[in-house]
Amino acid sequence: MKVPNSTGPALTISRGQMRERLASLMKRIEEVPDMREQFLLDPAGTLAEEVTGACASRHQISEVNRLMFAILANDDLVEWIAEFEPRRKSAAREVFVENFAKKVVELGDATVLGAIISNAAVGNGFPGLGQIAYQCVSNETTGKRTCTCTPVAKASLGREYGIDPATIRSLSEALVERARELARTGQLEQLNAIM
Amino acid sequence: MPGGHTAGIVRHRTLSLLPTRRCNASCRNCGSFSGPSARDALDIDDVRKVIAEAHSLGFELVVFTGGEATLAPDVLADGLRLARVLGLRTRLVTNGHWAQSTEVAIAEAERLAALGLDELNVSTGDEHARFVPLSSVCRAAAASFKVFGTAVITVELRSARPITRKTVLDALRAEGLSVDEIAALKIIESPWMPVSPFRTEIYEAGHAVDRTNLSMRSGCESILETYTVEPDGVVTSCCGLGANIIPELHVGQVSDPDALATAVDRSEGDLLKLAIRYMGPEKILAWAASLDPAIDWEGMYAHNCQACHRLYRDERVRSVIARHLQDIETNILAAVVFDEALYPSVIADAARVSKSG
Repeated sequence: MKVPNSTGPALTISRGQMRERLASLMKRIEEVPDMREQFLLDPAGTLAEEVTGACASRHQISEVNRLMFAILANDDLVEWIAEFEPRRKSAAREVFVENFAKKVVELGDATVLGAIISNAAVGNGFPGLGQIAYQCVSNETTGKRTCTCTPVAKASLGREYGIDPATIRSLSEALVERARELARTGQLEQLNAIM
Repeated sequence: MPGGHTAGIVRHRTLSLLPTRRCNASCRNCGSFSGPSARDALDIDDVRKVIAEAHSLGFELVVFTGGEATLAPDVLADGLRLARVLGLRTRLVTNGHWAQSTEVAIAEAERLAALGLDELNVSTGDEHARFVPLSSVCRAAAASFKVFGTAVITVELRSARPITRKTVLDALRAEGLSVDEIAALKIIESPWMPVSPFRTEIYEAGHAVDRTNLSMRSGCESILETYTVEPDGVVTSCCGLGANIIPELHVGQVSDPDALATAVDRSEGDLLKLAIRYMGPEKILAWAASLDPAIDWEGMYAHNCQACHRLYRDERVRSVIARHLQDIETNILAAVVFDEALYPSVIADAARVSKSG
């Protein structure tokens, strides 16, 4: 493989002062329910105001992040996640992905479903969203995920929740990517026609 | 302050110690550059100092690895004792060479438990098995199950390998473990990788990352969570596999005052390290390739440490990161807040309501 092998200066992007402000924001989010609400409603604006100081609009938040926040804004989904207990710990993630898709379809939350396909389905309206959401997570690619890179990593300590936030982020990204793929291949429109 | 912030961002932290780089095995492409001829070893006073600091900073777990940590018995014993006194959980990562018979394996596991060990992880695979027979690995795992009630076996993952999860299961049965005992063991297959980011290992279909499986890759679970003290005293901000060959991950010296606190400050203040933790090196590579199509990445990496090494060594990737990572800063920070504060708070609240209802 021919690539330019760098021997250049250390690659770091220093944000030392930002770290303190970020830690402070996170502490308030943990302690003050209103702060959670504010962040859920406007993550980019809150980060701009409290951490980066840059001007921001909601459009700076990606599809994936918007879906993550839409999930957390749905009380029924949050309650379901909090109560989720897989029968086998080792299968937790796979079981969660499958059941989560069914729960999204069952609840039919327009915000969550809209966030899933908003990028892909602009102008298509929203009939048949349940089927689309199910297809979004029934794709084979959802089974391939990051390896456990080392026996040192992943502390097997009792954490306060059964499904970790990284799983929700990965799942959100898979959902958005699947929706984009359906849109690219024209299947979103077909589903709408069927429904 | 376990479970809370240590004046920083990441909620849960682990201290990993390499008491020695010496090892009875000399595996090809060993990520920690360990082997029989390695002689550097951690000073016992430095181990005591850094474990005490980890406790004061709210770290939760101390891992002893290497090299083969059991070849530095005094440092291992002292570290385990101190961790127990301070209430820190402990783990030993070993190749199981010491489990020469069932009786010896159980006696050694009991001795380690009495010193303060809580968990045993045994590594094996094609490379390790050239030096430690699979039967020893299985005896070590069986002893771990008997003494600690749990055991983890990590198996090297590569194409056309004789030792797989299935062969390990067969060997465990041959050692006399019951179906229930085997079901309680955790066997993890982890990709074996070249130490160069410009060479590629051959993997079975679906293991190397490409656009079909990229979306389900998560961030790196080691960086900013595990701080490692190498045998030469270097402190790194990840579990150690890539740390020797990525100078940017070197964030202090164990002999420094407040070595861990300084390492945490330096590491969490680096936007690239945050991106590696919350996006993952593979997604950063794919993002860089979207801005510079000359960057190849698909089908090359199954191990995220190798993809991480690529970020730091490929001039084209470095250039994209240096010029454009700030463009996605808001999304990186949103992921940090989601993982470390928002999701845990919201879910914990819901769980409390559910229980009280």
